[in-house]
Amino acid sequence: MPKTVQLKIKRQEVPESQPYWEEFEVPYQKNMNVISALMEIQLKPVNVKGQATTPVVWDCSCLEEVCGACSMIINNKARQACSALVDDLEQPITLEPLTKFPVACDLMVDRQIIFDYLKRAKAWIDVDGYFFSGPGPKVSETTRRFAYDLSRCMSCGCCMEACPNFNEKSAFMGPAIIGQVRLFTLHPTGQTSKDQRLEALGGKGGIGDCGNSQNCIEICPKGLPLRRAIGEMNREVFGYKVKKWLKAD
Amino acid sequence: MSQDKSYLLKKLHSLTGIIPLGIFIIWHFIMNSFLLQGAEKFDGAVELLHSVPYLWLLELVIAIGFLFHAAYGLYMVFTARYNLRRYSYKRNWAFVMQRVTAVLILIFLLIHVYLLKFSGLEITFASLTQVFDIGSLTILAIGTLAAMFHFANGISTFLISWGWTVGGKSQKYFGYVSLVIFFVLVLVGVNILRMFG
Repeated sequence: MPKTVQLKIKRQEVPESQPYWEEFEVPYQKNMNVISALMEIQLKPVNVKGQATTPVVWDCSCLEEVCGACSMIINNKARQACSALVDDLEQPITLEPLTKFPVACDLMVDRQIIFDYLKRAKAWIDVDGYFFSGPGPKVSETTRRFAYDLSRCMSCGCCMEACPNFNEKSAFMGPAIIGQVRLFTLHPTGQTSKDQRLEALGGKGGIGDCGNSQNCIEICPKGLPLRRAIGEMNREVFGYKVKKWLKAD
Repeated sequence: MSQDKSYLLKKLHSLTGIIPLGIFIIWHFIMNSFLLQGAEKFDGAVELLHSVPYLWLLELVIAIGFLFHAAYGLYMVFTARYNLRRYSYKRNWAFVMQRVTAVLILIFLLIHVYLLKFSGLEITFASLTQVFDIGSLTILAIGTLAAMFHFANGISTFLISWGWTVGGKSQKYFGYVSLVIFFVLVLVGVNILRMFG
């Protein structure tokens, strides 16, 4: 008898409909990941009861854990489906869509809010001119290393999924946004618009809403130094607020 | 200045937990510990405390601090979406316990402050021994445990939120400091309750 993989998937046809569970059994292949198991379902959309069904919908792109598109809840943990190897997972493998973002269909969610929040926090660096103005300022190796680690954020939403304070009742923008603000306020050119970012983090849904559950540090698939990023931004935002108040007319 | 005041409120919430509430709870325990030196010393300390000048002002500061901390804290309790079953990490446990104890303390303090301040009960060792049965001592013990956890863990999160303990090492170290503060204060509390046992 050939080896098989058991899957239990939380499905939802349209954003307004009720979710339901459906179980599948697909042929096992060596070194397969959750995406390739889902592809087997796509190939032969028949559930474990032998009934023909619709193929399961999911989102993915890079398949090497750098794009952040295939975030889902796999065996009760938010993570990337591409780097979730079937051999490492307990079966039946349960797959659920992220719960903090609106479900589009099955395992596919709409993560637009992350990008809206990144915009609100001005998580980018302005162009400092359209002509060559010589080399930029030097950055120390330790700062570069920290900045590089933060730059690995792929906006996958796992930290927001695990954060108890990121939800529909709260305005909190989430850990990833704080990490990106840290990154762009470290950058010498980015520092010219630092105040705008600190203003965002000191405002509605900003860093004040962090509840120190630190689930983000545990769950981040890229192991981002979120502890230090949040700690340092706590200090920066407080300093900015005090100085601003003291100087205000 | 932006119209949104949530950052200021969060900071005030964090601050009121230490000043005046944290300072008060330690002071409260020191005063109660006069019991260890005997009934007369305790009754004398209560009398002295009640004759402190500007006592009403101190009480007002504590009351305002408490009411704000409790009201904004309750809002925080109800705006979180708890996920301990899925993410049962140590700090997430502390996050949930901080909010569970918050509700326990609020219920406890409503009873505690009413009975010992507004019910007209005379605060002497003799009269307290009469009214404290095993039930009320249990409630006092639960209230003490909850309050001490909330205060001790609150010190750790205060240090993170104000940008003092930034790294893993300092956060871990002050986690231990909180644990020691918790155990010391619980022992001091138990020592007080023992006097009524």
